[in-house]
Amino acid sequence: MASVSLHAIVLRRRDLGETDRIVTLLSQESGKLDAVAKGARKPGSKSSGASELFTLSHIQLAEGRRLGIVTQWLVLDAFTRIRAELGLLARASYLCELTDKLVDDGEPCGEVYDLLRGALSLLEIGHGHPDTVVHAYELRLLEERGYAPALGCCVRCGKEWKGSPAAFSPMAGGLLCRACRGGVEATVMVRPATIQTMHTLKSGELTELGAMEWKPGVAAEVEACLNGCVRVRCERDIRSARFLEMVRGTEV
Amino acid sequence: MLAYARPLARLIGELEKLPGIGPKSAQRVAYHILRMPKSAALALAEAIAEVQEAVRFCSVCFNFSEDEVCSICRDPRRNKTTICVVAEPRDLIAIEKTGEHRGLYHVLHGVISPQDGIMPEQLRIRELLQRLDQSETAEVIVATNPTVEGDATALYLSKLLKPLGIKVTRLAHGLPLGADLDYADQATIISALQWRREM
Ligand SMILES: [Zn+2]
Ligand SMILES: [Zn+2]
Repeated sequence: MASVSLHAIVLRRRDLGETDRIVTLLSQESGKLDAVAKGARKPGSKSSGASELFTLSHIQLAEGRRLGIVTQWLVLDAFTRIRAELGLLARASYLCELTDKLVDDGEPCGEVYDLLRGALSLLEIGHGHPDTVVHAYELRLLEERGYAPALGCCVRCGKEWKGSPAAFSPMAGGLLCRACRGGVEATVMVRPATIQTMHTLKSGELTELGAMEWKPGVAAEVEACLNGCVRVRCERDIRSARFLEMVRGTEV
Repeated sequence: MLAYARPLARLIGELEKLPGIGPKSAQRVAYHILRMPKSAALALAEAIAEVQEAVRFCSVCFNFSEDEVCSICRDPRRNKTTICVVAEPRDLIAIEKTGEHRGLYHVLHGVISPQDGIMPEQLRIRELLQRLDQSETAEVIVATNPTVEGDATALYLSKLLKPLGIKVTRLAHGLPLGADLDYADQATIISALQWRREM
């Protein structure tokens, strides 16, 4: 029987029968795929811990009748710190769900895998503010999927942005100059620091973003812009976003 | 279904809706019921009707109960200062069978699941808070499963209850008793290491 070796992160899982699970994996080698984790709901089974959300494993996938069957799990990171902090757990859930909704089964996406693995690792080691990781991931995932918002110039007429407060429209796909702003629905007025911050989040070295400082008011604006962009691109609701919003509300 | 007499087809159809019962088992059970003495079949039908009529939630702990307040909550020998919080009634039964927990329970009827959109307000958490407000509870034991959803629920409860001066503990997770260390997955071993304790 054909068997492949994959590096994969568990994005989602659901129960199958009495003791099994179906896991949605994002793999480095074959993109997103569903597979069966046999006995995952039996205590002490090899696959019970490994098939948990977020877990990064080196797996062996055997051909099954309809779905592949994971025959071996070597856990590379169980992200235990993420699972021990509500704020991190909420953010990691959101990143995985967002990825699941923006990536189609089977399309090659090694870059997205690297991005997600990097983002989860940064959350796990507590590198900077966790929302820095979330927003950098949102921007980079959108860019990877070809949906990056225009931040350097007006999305309509191409006029270069020169550092003044500007309008941002998730629907139009980025910044709008004064002349093009009229009549476009759902625009957010943002301060220059917000646009600068989004630039840095999108292009800065991911591992160096931890030192990034959030100026007052900028976090809320970045969140509003990116929530809007994500909502425009996802046909379905990101359920974890509601939970994340609630958790953010309890943080000071 | 054409070959079945109509009432038999109906019974098989109803049985098939039950969890873990496929068409084959439904057919077998239906034939079994058909061959039962009439009194036994009626007893089964009555039991099904009664369970819907007579079982409700205990108004204190939200376990299934025949009365307004369940027998555990009414028992004067139970330790009123400790409440064990479980996700489902079947988890309560599992713990109760051990006889180890002498305190009370609280059934949430679910766990927080961000990806499924299950939020705290959909669980019996408000009722737990009201209960803690009116009692002398010193410790809440969170007995949710060691899954991400179980973690989310435990972390949320701990964040909510600690400021009230209540000790919040969680069931340990790690190696199952009698298991081979060699056979356990790494996630379980990591967890067992983190939850280790001094001997
Ligand atoms: Zn313009
Ligand atoms: Zn009760």
